[in-house]
Amino acid sequence: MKGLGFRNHMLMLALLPAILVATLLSVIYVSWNFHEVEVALKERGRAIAKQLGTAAEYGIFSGSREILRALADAAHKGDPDILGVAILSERGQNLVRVGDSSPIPLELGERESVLEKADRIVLVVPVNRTVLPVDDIYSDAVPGVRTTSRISGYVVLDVSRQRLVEVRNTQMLIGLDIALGGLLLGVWLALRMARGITRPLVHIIDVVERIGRGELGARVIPEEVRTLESLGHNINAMAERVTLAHGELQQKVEQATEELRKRKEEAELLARMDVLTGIPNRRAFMQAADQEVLRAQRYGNPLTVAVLDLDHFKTINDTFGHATGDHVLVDRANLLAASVREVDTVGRLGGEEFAILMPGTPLPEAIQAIERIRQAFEQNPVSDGDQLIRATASFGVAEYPGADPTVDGLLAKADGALYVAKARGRNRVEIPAQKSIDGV
Amino acid sequence: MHLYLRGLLILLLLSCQILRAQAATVWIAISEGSADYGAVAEEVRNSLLRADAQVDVSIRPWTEVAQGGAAQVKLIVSVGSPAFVGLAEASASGRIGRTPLLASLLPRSVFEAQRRKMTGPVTAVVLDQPAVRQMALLRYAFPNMRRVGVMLGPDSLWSQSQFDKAAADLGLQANIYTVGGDADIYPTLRRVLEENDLLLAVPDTTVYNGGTIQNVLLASYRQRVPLIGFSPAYVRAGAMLALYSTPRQIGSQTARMARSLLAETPVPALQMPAEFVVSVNVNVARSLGFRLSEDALRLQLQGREGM
Repeated sequence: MKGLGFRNHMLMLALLPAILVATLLSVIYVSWNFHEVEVALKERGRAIAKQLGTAAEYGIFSGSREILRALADAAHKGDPDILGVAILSERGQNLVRVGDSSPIPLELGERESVLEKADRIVLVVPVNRTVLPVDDIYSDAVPGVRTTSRISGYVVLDVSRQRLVEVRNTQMLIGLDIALGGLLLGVWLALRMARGITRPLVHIIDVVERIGRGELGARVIPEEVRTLESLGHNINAMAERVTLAHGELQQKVEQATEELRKRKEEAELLARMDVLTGIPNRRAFMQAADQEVLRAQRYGNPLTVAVLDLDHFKTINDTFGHATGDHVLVDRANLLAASVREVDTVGRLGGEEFAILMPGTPLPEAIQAIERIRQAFEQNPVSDGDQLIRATASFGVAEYPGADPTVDGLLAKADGALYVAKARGRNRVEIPAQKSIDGV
Repeated sequence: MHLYLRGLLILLLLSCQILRAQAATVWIAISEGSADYGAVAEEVRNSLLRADAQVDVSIRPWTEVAQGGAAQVKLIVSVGSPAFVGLAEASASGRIGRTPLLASLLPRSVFEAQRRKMTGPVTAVVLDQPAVRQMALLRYAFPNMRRVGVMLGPDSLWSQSQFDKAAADLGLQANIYTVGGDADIYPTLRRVLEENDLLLAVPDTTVYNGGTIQNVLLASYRQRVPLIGFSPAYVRAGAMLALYSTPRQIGSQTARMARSLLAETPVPALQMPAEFVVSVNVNVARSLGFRLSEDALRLQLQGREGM
């Protein structure tokens, strides 16, 4: 569409002067020809009138209307352009009138006169008497000898302008045809010549538009832009750079996005992880517990939860400082995580209190597993520099479902057991109610 | 004393006589225009000189002659109408005295119109052929034709009776028509051509001039009426026949007349051409069905006039 517009523009640029010149030439041609034809028409009329006059001389002399009528008729019928013929006597008396002849002009002179009318040219041509050379010796300077008038009569010829108008119209048509023909030739030539420029340009415009629309792979085809090869080349280079820049940008955006995603995941992880120990925090643990409770509810799988609390942690803190306290916490958390099965989940509920979620594990099995963990705590003191710090833990274990079949109910039951374990001297595993397993 | 005086007087008269005979001066006043004027003037001079080598002949433009100074001139010969008309005016105003004047090569009508203005003796050799000769020519050339049409203008009306008489003498019927002006020509001509077998043209410019001659010839030809002209130009233009005298013939006749004037015989009367020729347009004659011979006709005419 744009290409067509551009081509039209180019054509207009090339053809407008050509149209003007062609039109001007046509007008000049027509008016010149018209003038020539008009002159020729008058000349022809004059020649006819003169010839008729010569032929009519005897008829005028003899006053023979028959002769004159025959002559006038012949002249009138012999030429379609002659509307009428009149022959007048020397005194302007009408001798004969044939066809559509104009009224006798008022003034008759020795010279021919031309009356231009809208539809006709009226020629009044005197009929000159043919003078024969006869003997001067009889007539020279004789007083009283009249010299006979040189004019014996007049021929009035009405020449139609119709033909003139027709000729002019024909000429105008011819002129127009010539102009049109020239124009068509010009268009053809201009198109041919312009194609060398417009086709490459149209192609380039198309490519640029496609690039503009985002089709970055669009490239100028060298064969299409022979005459504008360097322009095509430059446009390709430019497109190349645009594409390249676009790619880099996209890559950077992708990198940044990935970075953000990671950060977000890390943040999310951090939100679910206990910052000190690296194991799930209370919230993450509670979520996992919720999930497992639901699963146990739905499928009737066994589920056990254990709560543990480090024994005498306040004393450790007070004795060795908070840094060591923290170190102890990290160490125990790591041990705990390492001691549970793959399916189990551990979590720090807060302070020196941890919890273990053991899906698919009935209570007896769980008690055994927890007991092993208690033993691991007992047998592996925390190494802090060159000293070993004993850090045992008390455990309360509860099985789902209890009286309260919720996570909180389950944990409260385990907490109750833990309280019992604490009360019974710490470093032991207790279950709710009376059931208890003594440490060795 | 008386004897002596008488003797002296006789001597004086004699010497005058001798002087006058030796210096007889003739001026030839020519008109300007036609070459015929020069030709006639030359012929007159040559003829005069052939007859008398003592004659002092000079050819001058008539305008020069008309200025006077012709006191010792014995004779003025005018050649052509303009010269005669001009000299007649000069004579009337007394510029050329009473010098005898011989007019030559002019229509009789012109001579007759102007001669009364002359104060001195005057005579002429005119161009007009005698009416009898013309009628005789028609008789010989067209033996079966009787009716002869003659159109006369105001200047030639005087000749009417001559044509009538000549025609009657030769057994012909001359029908005279008078033409007042241009407008009359064709209507009259039509009547002439309808009522006559022949058309005899006369030198009258009202009827016959360069502007009318073609149409008159055409009309007569269409009517198959032979036209008889009065000059070779008419034959060239299409007249079947013409009777006229050549410049040379007029010139030698003028010279003869000049000699008799110089001889102081009584002034001779006006003369019509003595010698003549007949000219025939063979094409016109043939196309109208006539066989005419110029020489035969001339000889017949000459024989009739006893030449």
